[in-house]
Amino acid sequence: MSTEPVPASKGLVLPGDLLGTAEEFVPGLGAYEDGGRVYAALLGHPHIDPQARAISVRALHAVPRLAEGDLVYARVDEIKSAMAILTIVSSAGSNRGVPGAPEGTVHISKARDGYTESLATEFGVGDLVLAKVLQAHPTIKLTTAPPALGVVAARCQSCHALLALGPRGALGCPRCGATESRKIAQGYGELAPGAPGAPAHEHEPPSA
Amino acid sequence: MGSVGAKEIPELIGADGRRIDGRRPDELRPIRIVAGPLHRADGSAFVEWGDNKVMAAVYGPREVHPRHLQQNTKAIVQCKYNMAAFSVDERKRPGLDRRSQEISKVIAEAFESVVFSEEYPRTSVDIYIEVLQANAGTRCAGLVAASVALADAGIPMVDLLPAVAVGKVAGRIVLDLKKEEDNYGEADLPMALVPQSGRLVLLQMEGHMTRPELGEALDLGVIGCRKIYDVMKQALRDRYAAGSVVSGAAFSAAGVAP
Repeated sequence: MSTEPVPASKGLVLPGDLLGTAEEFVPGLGAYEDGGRVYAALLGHPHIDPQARAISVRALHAVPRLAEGDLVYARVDEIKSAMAILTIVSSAGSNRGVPGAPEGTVHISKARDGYTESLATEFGVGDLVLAKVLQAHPTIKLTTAPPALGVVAARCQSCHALLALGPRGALGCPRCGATESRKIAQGYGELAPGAPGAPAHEHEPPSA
Repeated sequence: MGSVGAKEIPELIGADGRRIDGRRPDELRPIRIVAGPLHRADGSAFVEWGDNKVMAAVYGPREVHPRHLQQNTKAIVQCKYNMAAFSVDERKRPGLDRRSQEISKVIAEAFESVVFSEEYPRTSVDIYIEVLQANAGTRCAGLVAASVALADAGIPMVDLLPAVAVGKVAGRIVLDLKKEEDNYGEADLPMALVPQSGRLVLLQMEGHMTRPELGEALDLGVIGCRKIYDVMKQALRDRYAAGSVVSGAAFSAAGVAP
């Protein structure tokens, strides 16, 4: 515990560092109050919100937390008439899983641009989807409408081989020859670092 | 002192008041901490403390296994303390034993009282402590390593958790026992401190001490913990202050790592 409060302009704070007193600030994310004093709970940079009189700590290596606009990888669990239910496996920007493996939904109107007759032609159960978060609370709503978003990996419904992108943009099974229909992402078959199944990489790039 | 059976007991405190390795009674062994040496883990730390070498890795918050341990209102903290077969003089039989299970339990409970577990319900924070080389005080070294690893993993907690053992050797209260002092001394008292509040979250004792001795030992341990706390904080600052670390969020969604 430092005896002097850490001014918000000063770089790094560690868990247990004194940020100020309860009269000065409300503890925001990454901060807590104990006995009238506000301390840091995370390793990061302090940030003061003058409107809310709140002090928070922006973590340098944070546990992923979903927010509106985030890109996520999700696995399709179930397809209903009006929506698909997915489990969010990780946020696309990080190689850490989202804690709690939360469930998200894609409404039939948000699966692709334009009218969708049936979600069964857009997703298959087990597909890996790149999606954008439309709403993070209280429930997670996702969209795959933009061209960059949609299915990034899918398996053949009859023989379970990984589907490959054909010359005319159609999905075909290289093993049994079946063709399937999906709302595919522009980068079908390519996984960003940190995506489940992508080659492992280090969360810390070499400093050289 | 004297000899028990045929085995020669080393002179633990010399005529000059120095200990077997030349330390004063209130002196720690040299300690070096590296934050974040492992890249696959969410957080990690390596601690070299005297002749102890301990690696800790932290994962999570992530799915709970086994499932029935899951709690709907908070995260659980699970810890696995393990000694390598080559960590001691005679080969240690690998795997769980009563000692390592006990240490895992007390370390997990110590962290449960400082981690803000309500923020991540239905998840588990998993701590793995591997003792590569042991020379008394490995539960404290493991706790220190795990604590730095938790901070490195960005897990919210009240404070870092420095830990040290105090003991009674040749009738004197001394800080940070080494192997000979632990084996032939009269008492061993490992403790872990929350510096922010001054609370102890781990306190065990082996052997005997009088009440005034216990008071003296606790005071000495708190002083030792605060010294270790400074080393822990410096290790984290060294890793993050230079700006060499890129947080997960800094990777662009396009998949281009900077």
